Amino acid sequence: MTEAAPERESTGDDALVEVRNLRKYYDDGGGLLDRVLGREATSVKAVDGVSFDVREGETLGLVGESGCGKSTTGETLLRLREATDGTVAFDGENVFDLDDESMSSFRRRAQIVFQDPFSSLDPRMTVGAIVAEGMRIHGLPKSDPTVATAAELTVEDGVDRTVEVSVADDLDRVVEAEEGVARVPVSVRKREADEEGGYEATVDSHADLLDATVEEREADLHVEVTVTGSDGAIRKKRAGDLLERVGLSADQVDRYPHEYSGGQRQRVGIARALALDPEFIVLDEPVSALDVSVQAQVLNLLDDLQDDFGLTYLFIAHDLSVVRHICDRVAVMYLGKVAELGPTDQIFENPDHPYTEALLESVPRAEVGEQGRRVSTLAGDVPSPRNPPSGCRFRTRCPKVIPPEDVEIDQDAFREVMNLREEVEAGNLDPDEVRETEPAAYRKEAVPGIAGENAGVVDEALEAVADGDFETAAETLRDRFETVCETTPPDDAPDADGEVVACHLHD
Amino acid sequence: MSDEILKVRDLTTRFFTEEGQVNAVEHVDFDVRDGEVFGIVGESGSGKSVTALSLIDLVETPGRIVEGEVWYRDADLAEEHRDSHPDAVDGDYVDVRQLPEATRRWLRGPAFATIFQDPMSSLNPSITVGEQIAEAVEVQRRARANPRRTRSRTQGYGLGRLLVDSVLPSQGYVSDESQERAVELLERVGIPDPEQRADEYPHEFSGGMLQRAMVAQALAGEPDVLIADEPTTALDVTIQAQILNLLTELQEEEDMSVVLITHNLGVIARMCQRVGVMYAGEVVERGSLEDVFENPVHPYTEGLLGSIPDVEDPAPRLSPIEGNVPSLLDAEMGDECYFADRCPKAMESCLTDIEEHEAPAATDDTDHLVRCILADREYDESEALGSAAKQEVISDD
Ligand code: SF4
Ligand code: SF4
Repeated sequence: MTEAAPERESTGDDALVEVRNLRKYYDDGGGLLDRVLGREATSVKAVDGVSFDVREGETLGLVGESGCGKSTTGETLLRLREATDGTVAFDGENVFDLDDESMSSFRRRAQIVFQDPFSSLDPRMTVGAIVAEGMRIHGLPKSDPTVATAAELTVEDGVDRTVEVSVADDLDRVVEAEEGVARVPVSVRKREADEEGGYEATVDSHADLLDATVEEREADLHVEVTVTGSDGAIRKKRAGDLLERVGLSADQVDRYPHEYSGGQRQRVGIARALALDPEFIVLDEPVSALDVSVQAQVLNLLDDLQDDFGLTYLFIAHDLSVVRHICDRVAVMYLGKVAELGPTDQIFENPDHPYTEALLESVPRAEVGEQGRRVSTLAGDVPSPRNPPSGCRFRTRCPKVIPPEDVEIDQDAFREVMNLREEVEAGNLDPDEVRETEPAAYRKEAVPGIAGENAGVVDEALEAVADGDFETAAETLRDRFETVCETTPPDDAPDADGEVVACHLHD
Repeated sequence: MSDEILKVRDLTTRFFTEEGQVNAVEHVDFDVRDGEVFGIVGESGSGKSVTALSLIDLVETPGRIVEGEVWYRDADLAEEHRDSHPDAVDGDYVDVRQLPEATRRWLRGPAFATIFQDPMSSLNPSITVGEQIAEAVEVQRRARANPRRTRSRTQGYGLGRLLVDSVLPSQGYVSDESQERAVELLERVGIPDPEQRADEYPHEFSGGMLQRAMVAQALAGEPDVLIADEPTTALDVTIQAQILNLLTELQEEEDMSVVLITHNLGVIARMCQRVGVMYAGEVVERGSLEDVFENPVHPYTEGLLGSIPDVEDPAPRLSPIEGNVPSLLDAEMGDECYFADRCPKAMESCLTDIEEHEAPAATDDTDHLVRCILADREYDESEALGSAAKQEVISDD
């Protein structure tokens, strides 16, 4: 690229991106039922207050199951979707508050690669044009006035004169500057006698975009290097270079996306993201659609590019093995919030949040020891993001949900009590069935592990259910079994080390 | 009595498309034993799903099974057809492909049942879940009584049916008994409040619950073999774990055999006793889970295992298989081993000597079969061709 990367101090812990209390709600008018019944529309709280930093040069993983809000987070922090609330600072500047010029610069410095390489590439454009498109939109190549230009001169035998070189100021449109100087190798030689005689000069790189001429000025030779390639030609050359860099062949710039396999198309997507010399790339499930053998190639490529270009990645994925492989730190999301955030090894070896534990427990490992492993699974499904649970989002499924201090109860039994409460509060029990089974018998079936006072309270509540009085039943249960996990949202602000364990067990 | 419920021999399925003949499944052999989970693993285009469809004779045009036998053990069927179709009977086994069409269709249910990746494609959106399962029960019941005249409303559900169903009121011909059985089945697969859920429509179910409903439907015929094609691929990992637990439980308790088809090596490891690895339409390696995962012989299997990041051990660098999945167009397939262009161990004879790598050979363990020159010989690094040399040999012939 024509610009030198701005010098930045890399203290390692510097935040390039700071996300604070980011919210993204979708007001889609509610469900059909809501509209028919004229109920007030409830919005989908896709992202509901997440805070984290992405540090300079790191790969931060954002993992979670579908509907947890990870992709929406990625798109919202890039301002591809409008945030409902919160701030995102990129390199110190609030992204939601940029003027046009700064916005254009942000669009250049922060890029995204999507999961589905095909749908994100225009099928009618050649891959060269696709890769070059961003440069065209941003009016590149542009010369940077702060970049100096220079030639590395080779004077061949037979040239017995002093050679002076002048290089066009806009050489940096073609040649990438290193440490503020764009350099081009030039050689000067004497023509063979049978030709027209005199001297000739050649540029030894980018020859099709540059030209060198020699002029005899008295005793000296004066060589002048000029940029002759058009902007379009320069962009095409750079597109070819980028394709090569991502493992494709530069002479394929005139091909179309459909001529490529999935893995190759994803490489094109990556080349496109690189074209503007970004500092930060959001990788949104970049290898999820690929076969494993190809996925490994792309992961290795992403690794290499990060080293070569000093990139910072936000890596969004649902595949925990991939995340473990590529990420320095990991944020685990559940239902629009960050459940746990910390260094990758810590998260994978000593997960602190019950959801992280469950997630890791669920992953099938590709090894013989996995055979027949029975996994203690999470019960049920993720609740609706329209109406997320109060307090801790995970409390409707958490196996460690915390019983009130003054209630003595077995952990599994408390989980069952909480499930029962859920059903009572949703009015899901059938009063006739409870009445016919008899409340105490029903309780033994639904919550076998309780006795004494606990059993008494549950029986009392079930009697109310049998009478069809769900409200009293819910209240009776709440009175005794209300847990901190439902009353108080756990703290999910990153601590001084940038870590999060949003769980009351770690207060 | 032999302990194989299914013996697949030389199964070959091709697609005859405008671009030419596609060799989707080529001479595939494997056995499925009683009460085991046999895994078929492969990447896209490996032919694993077409193999599943071929087993139950559901390959659609322009595809066609051109060759092969699917021997299914059923003493009664064998007896019934011994005189009328002598070629289709061998001892207690019948070759499903040579049986009359009606019998073949009848077998779907009590012999083979299937679950697919996308439950929505097999469930009718305008009929309640309970009713659809009840119907499957009913169909099986009637099939047993009269094997030749059954057709389920929900089998092969397509747009045409959808239109018909949305115009005509559904014909309730399902007996109460079948309704009850449907609720039992929903309970059996772990759907809470089965009675209420039975009255709901597929779109009211979450992905995990739908997959459970599919399993319930598959169980309606009490099948001997459950064919599960990527049953958990569309699911989140915690829901996947629930479904895998359910399948294990059912398989043990119902004494079914399962053919599990997936691209996920972790799922294979958790579920299967034996496994076949498919590449470019062929089973390239087959053996016990230990054989294949711990002593892989085929370079593709090795490569596949090296490609996956390990959730427990962050290896600094993956060793991927270079290149891309090959074309299965007949015209573009040569005599060389189909993996040769990506194989780091490819030798000259891999490219030319078709006999050597065509037939699966046993390694020192007779149950561990490998379709590769290296099946029964040591790899000698000095024989490996560089990629340039490979190109030369391939383009030469
Ligand atoms: S806060 Fe309570 S419900 Fe939430 S994860 Fe911790 S223990 Fe579980
Ligand atoms: S036959 Fe040759 S090319 Fe094919 S997998 Fe074996 S070693 Fe590789």
